[in-house]
Amino acid sequence: MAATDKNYRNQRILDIVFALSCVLMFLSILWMLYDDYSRPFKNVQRKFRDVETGVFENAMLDRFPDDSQMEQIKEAEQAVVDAQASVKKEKEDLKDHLNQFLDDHPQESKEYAANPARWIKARQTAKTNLQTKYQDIKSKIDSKSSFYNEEMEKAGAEKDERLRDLHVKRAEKLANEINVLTNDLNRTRTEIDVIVSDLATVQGGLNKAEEQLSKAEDSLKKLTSEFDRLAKATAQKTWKTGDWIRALPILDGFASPVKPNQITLKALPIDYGGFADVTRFDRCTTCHLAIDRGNFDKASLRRLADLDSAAVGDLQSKLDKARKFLIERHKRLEARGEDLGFDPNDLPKKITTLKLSKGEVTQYCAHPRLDVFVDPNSKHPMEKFGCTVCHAGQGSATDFTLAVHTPADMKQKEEWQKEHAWAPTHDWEFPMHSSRFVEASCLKCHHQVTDLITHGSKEEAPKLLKGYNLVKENGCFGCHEIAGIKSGREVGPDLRLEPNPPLDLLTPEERTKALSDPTTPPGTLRKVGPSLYRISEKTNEKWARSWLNNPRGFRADTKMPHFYNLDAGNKDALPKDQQDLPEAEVHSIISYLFDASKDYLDGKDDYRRLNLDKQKKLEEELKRQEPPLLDVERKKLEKDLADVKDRIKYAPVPTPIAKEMVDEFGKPVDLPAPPKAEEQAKHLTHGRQLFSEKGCLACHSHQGTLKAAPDAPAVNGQQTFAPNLSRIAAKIAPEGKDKRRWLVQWILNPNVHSPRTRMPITHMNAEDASAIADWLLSQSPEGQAVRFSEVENWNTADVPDPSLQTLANLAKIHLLKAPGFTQVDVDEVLGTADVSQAKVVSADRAKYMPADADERKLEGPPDAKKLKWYIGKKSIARLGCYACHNVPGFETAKPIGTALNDWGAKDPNRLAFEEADVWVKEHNNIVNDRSDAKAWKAKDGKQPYEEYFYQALEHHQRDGFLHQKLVAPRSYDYHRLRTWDDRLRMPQFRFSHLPKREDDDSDEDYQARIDKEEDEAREAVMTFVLGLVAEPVPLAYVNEPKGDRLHEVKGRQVIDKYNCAGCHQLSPAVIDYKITKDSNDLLEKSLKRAKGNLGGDYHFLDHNAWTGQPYLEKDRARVFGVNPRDPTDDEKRNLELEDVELKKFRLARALRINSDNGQSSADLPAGEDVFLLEKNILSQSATHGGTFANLLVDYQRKRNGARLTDDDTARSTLPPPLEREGERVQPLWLYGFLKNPTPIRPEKWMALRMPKFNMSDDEAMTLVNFFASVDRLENPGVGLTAPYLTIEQRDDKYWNAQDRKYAFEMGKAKLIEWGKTSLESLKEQLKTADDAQKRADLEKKIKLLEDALAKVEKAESVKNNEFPDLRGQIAEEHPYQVDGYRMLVKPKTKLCLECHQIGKVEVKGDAKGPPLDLTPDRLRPEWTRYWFANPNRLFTYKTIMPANFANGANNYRDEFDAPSLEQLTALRDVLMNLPKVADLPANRKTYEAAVGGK
Amino acid sequence: MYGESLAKSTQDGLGVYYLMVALLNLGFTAYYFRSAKKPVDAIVWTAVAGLFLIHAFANFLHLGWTLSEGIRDWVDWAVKAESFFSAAALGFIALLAFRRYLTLPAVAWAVTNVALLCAGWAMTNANFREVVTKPDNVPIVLLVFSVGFFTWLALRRGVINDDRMAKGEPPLEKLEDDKVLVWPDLVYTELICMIICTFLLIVWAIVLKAPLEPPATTAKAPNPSKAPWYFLGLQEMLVYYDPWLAGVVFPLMIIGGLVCIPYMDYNQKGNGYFTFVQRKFALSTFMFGFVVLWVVLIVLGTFLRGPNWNFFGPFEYWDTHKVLELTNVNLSQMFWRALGDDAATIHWFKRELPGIIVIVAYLALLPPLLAKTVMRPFFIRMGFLRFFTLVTFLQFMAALPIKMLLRWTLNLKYIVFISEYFFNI
Repeated sequence: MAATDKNYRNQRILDIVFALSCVLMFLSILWMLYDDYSRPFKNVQRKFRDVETGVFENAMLDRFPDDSQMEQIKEAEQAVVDAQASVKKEKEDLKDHLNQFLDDHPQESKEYAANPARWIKARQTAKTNLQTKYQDIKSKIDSKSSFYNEEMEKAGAEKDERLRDLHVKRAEKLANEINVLTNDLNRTRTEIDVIVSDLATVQGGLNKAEEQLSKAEDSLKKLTSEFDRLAKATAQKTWKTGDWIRALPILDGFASPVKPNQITLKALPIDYGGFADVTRFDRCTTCHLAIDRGNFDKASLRRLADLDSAAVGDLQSKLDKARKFLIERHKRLEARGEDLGFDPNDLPKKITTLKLSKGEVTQYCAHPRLDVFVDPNSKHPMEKFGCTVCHAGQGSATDFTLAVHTPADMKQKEEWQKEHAWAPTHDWEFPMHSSRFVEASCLKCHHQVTDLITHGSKEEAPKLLKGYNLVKENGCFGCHEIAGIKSGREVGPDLRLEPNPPLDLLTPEERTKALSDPTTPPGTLRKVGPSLYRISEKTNEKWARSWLNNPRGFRADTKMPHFYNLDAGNKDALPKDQQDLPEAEVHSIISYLFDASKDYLDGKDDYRRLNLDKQKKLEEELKRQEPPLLDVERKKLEKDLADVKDRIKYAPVPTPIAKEMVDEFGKPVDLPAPPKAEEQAKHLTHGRQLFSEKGCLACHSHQGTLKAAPDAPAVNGQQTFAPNLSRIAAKIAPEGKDKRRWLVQWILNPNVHSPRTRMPITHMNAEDASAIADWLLSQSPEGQAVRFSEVENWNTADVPDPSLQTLANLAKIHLLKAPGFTQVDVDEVLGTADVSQAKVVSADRAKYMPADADERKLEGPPDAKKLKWYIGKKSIARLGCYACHNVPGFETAKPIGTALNDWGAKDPNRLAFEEADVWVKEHNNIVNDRSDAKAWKAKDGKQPYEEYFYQALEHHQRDGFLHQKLVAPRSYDYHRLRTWDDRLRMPQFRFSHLPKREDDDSDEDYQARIDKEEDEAREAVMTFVLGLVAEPVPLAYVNEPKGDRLHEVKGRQVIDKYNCAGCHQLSPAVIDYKITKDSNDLLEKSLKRAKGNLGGDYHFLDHNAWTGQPYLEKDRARVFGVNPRDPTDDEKRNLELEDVELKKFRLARALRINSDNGQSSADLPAGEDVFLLEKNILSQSATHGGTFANLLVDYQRKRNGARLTDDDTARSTLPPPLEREGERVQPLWLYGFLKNPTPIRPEKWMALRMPKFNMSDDEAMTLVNFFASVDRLENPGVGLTAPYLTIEQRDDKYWNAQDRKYAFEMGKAKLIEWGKTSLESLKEQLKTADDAQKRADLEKKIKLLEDALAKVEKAESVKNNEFPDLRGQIAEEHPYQVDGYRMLVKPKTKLCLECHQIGKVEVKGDAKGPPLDLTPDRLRPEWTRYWFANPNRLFTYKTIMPANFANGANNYRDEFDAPSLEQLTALRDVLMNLPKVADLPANRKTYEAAVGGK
Repeated sequence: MYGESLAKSTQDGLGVYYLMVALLNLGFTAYYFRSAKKPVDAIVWTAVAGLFLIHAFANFLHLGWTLSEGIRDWVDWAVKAESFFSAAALGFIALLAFRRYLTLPAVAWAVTNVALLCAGWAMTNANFREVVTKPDNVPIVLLVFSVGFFTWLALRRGVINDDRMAKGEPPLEKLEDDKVLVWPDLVYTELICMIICTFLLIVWAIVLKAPLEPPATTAKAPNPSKAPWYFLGLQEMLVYYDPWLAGVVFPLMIIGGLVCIPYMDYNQKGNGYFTFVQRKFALSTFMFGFVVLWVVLIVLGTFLRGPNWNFFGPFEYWDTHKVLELTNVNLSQMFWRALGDDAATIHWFKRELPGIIVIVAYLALLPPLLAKTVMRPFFIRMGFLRFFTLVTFLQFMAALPIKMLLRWTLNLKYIVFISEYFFNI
């Protein structure tokens, strides 16, 4: 076709299409650019610029000087101007000065006369040159001197005389040179000095003026620096033209002011499952732009967002003023040739107003805990830790959804869906922790968990700690091992059961062996339930069955979980052929336990029997002659035999209680006879008193103590560490045996029944124990007021006895799994359908089974007892009862549950979610949010269920699975066909303790509260479990407490284990307090108020009870207080703060109070009251411990009102607070005391005695270290030494020095008294002296002293160190020790003897304090001194010990002539070495006088 | 998920979809009314458009119409790998056989309408929607419609041309000039296409962002693990054949076969125009290979293969825990069991002898047999070498449907199973 031909297509149409397509493409490209420009993070960053401006603007305007400050500024500026003028003048005057100088120094050249600046410069140049020259000469001298030295050394060492001369000559030459140089040097020095003085003469005035100027400038700067800084920041943060241009679309691709920020963490890579670790990039700061900037707190941002028009108007006028002020100042400065550092015209002209959503406030705000996280000075700086290592989520994403934010509840979810089009994503295996579970991550590095408690009681991760404690308390680790070590590396907390037998029972060699491998240390935790070896002595089968069937039905807050009648496992939900099985199982388990227990008590239990058999066999084998034993064989047999013998050794045959009862020392005692009828009431009251007072309520609670009775005030104990004993009378019910006998034995010595129990021995005698037991047993279980409705019908009919057929059916299921049993075998043993057709397990068959096969028990025709035994054993193995209880027959059984040490990282695809979500949907009322109390109700009998968890379950997320597993473990069986033994085994726990029921609680409210606490507890447990990720975090990141901190952390675990805090208060509340002007005023008022108590006090600078610490931050103080109370109206009125929310604390440590202008500070010492503004309390942790002591104060006052007249006195009869315990007592003593507590304070005064815990040596040592370490950390000034300390008072040198010092300082009266004593003693010596020379000396001495004494008597007063001879002689008589002792023992002083016993010296009144004979071994000298100085400072309540040696009081001068501080020191010294000091002849006399000559 | 109600945004989307289909039908109506002047047809298509409009309004009003559970269950029950593939194969044969009627514009349009309506209804199911709208899978949806369209186009033109040639007229393509100008007819058009493609790709990239999946780990393979979409046919073969066959031999044979086509094609007719009659064998064979064995398997692999490579109905939830019984047996097992012997105890050669014989017979005996019988004309025209090459390729192609058939009917796992040497067929 020719080129002129028509086109194939219409050209015009093609053109149109082309044009259209071009337009489309252009539009699409624009769209693309827009799409990129509007990426979410870019919008966020652009908006942040305005937020920044706004925040700085507000802050700047807040600090805009007010009128009075403006005056000051003006003055300061004037001062600057003046100073500048004087500088200027001085500069002008320079010429005159110079001319004057030149006139004075005619030899000087006049060439610079007209130009002082050049003269100065010339002089300075000359000076610099001379200085260089000086250095030059000096280095030459140094060098030559070293040569000289060298030559002289050589000469000295040289033997050849000729050569020596040569060296000497050389040295001399050098010396000459050095001489010349030295002259040079001195000349130069002089020249320099001349120049310096010349310069000073001419320039002096100018220098001074300049100094003045810089001072004036400084003070001006001080006035405005904060405002200037913020103004500069505001100006810089305001968008300027350049920024706008760079942020434009397309251009923003080049030098954009908006761009992703990232933290690169090579040291903390992400493990993507098997591939090489990948560097972690956290781009979170791309949107969280102010995360590390403290001034972007939520309040500031909200304020910015909530500006109303009035506020805007105010601010606008302020801004205008500020602009004007700055611009003027800028001009002034410019005129002076100075600079403001920024252009004030850059400041915004209009007040920044912004709309910020709730989410944006969160997005733009700083991290709420900058003191711990993100900040470079915190423990987790952002640059080192990044974000995702704690928060999880996809750090590399710059998109809200792709970063995998996880909402904490439905409300947040909806907000996010609206604001960020958030949708769940399953593509990142570790979504960000929702705020519910964010604490879980702490576990990655804080493997000890208790290291998250700082400063005594401040819990940094309360939810996690709660979870950790609940896991320990409920014994989760019994079934689910939580191993802290994975392939030799520490990866998490280590919670595992202790080995059997426990380490404490082993011999030292065995223990060393058990501990030899550091990568697999033995577990440390005891089983949480009581031992069941002797259950048959304690109760009966019927009770045990109903308990097992429904434990919370009997005791609502028991830790025992429910195994039966649960959700998808209840009778109706089970398939027909399984409906009878639960009952059969309950019967069988209980039957097994009682059989096994009886066997055990008879010494015939299987474990023992099998081991004895084995021992016999092995012994026979060892004796074998034919064929002769090989060496290898023998060794093996011997080892096996040793093992078997060990096992027998650690399982001794018990003595049944029925046969013998023993007391705490293991001595047999008789059971006291029951009281006679007429004494019954008194006896029971006595029992109740003992129960209330002797510490039972520190761990247990009992309904019977709630109502007051004659002689028995009410105590409302809420302790949950140990079981609630209200119904114990029903529980202890051994068949045909004496309830009383068992309970008395248990109280006397609980270790008899359960050797590993944490119940301590309470030093009760049999009579007292029987009183408690009788009272407990007299409390009818039915009559008790119930706390919770579900408890009422506990005692319904017994669990029905299963038929033989049901038992056979159940046994078959287990038998089928027994090794060597086929279906045919099983049918033969238990009948095909009908058990009556069963054939026996023949003896023949039994013979070929292993010795320990359970099937052996089935030998012979089946009967109920045999079957129950068999099923019971199999069921216990299946359900893992031995995880919490010691069960006979399960001595070596392994945990049944999934190991949890990396559960938090488990792939959700490997979890069997089954139909649990359907279960929830069908059986629960799904409620949007927990916070909506009205909706949070059961509906149609369906319990409320939080939608958050429902959705997590539906979306197959870990937390959803875990939550449902804890709520309704068996629901995973729902809609599943499973044989009985394939059904789930996890029981259902109740984690929370029942809250206290208030009188006005309706059933519904109470139920709601119970549910809420349970939800919280469950979430705490989940937080812990989700934190178990076993991630091998680089070692540099793992928190490994060391030294004292480690002792503190470990000690806390022991304290929790034995509930020490149940009785003793261990540490004060820690309050972080914001210092503002009004809060500081209030502190000053507190200080003023306390002034009265401060007279007579000392101020020990090194001790934190007297000296407060500097604030953590400029505006954040840390207050350590106890006994938080609301102040009374009177107090409020006195403070003139009637309408303000206040809290009153008793300080446990001194608090530094800075004066308002920050110039001076004062300390409010411990023991004083402080008032705090509630709104300024940033965080507050609870006081740790002391519950029982607090509980019983009131009781004690009611019981012993006559002697305990106030709360503080009552408290002195109760367990003492252990704050400063490490500082107080000697470690060795404490160790002995913990292992074997002896009475300290008089038992008559005290309500109770420290019980004896079943504590290992290591644990006791850990506690000792804990106390010492805590005080070393908290009170470093005291310089505590631990664990060993020397007591200098045991050293003669110390005493000699003190005696001498005392002798040289005593006043006239004492000097005369002691002079006489000395003379007498010299005369005494004279009498016995036989050597002539010695006699002469003595006589001379006596003469001398008599003279001196006469002089003393005449003198008006004596000065220290006067009469040295006399005083020297007195020092020989140990006056310090004698007077000190006199102070202690002499009845006249009314000092210690008022309350303390010393040896046989009777106490005058009631003995209240510990006998002082304990002191030398018990107390630390330093503490004792502080204690004497002012006991109230060291105790958390007002102690009954008086401050006898107030500062400046100077009492007891007759006894000990020195100021109070020295008196108390002497007293302390005497006590620290009491036996030896008391043994001085003079002191023996004093003592004898005190005991009345006996 | 189960029985979720339709989100409002989904309903709005469906409304737009139905509205667009209605507009297409109105366009069709306009064509019939104005160009074709067939008022009756126009009324029918107006009614169809009305049907779609009703759907559109129902969705815009958020009435929440969803596919009834009965239908969903029935479809899930009816659609199995075997039924899906067999239906596709039969459909293909029917398409060729009844091409005259099926390619009529009205019929094809009706079929399209039915497909679109069904698609719309199916989209109300969350499971279906999730699979179909996954950004990875959207191209496959386009593939279904574009393959359908081009197949229709080719056949339609073929039918017209065949008719014309039967009447002695030249085919339509011959009516036009066989030369056009490079500029503007080629280059200009290409430029426009380029621009439009760029436009489409940009819009696609903005609207349907590349899906981000979990990071790769060695510890956890994605489930299902799918090949790139164009290899899903190959992956489907892995269900029936050993990897060395399905992954190595067959792909090589496919490439080889495609390379060999020009050398084996002796038919001179049908160049430069659409026809069916003149190239019956070539067209049916190639289209069977491409449409049925490739595209259909891609569709199956994309939409109907879920976790664990299990087959899922279009509305079925992709449950990871679904377990299908696997009771497949080897030929040797069947054979020796029938003879009362246990295959496992026999030496591999003797054991697998029946299978080996079958394979050898298939590859060695079938070609001469075919040459003698049905394919005799081919043999005569192609000569020995070309014929045997062709038949061998055909046999390999047929191997897949044959094995499928054997699997579905006899539960046959392997014909030859020599696990000792990792050699299975």
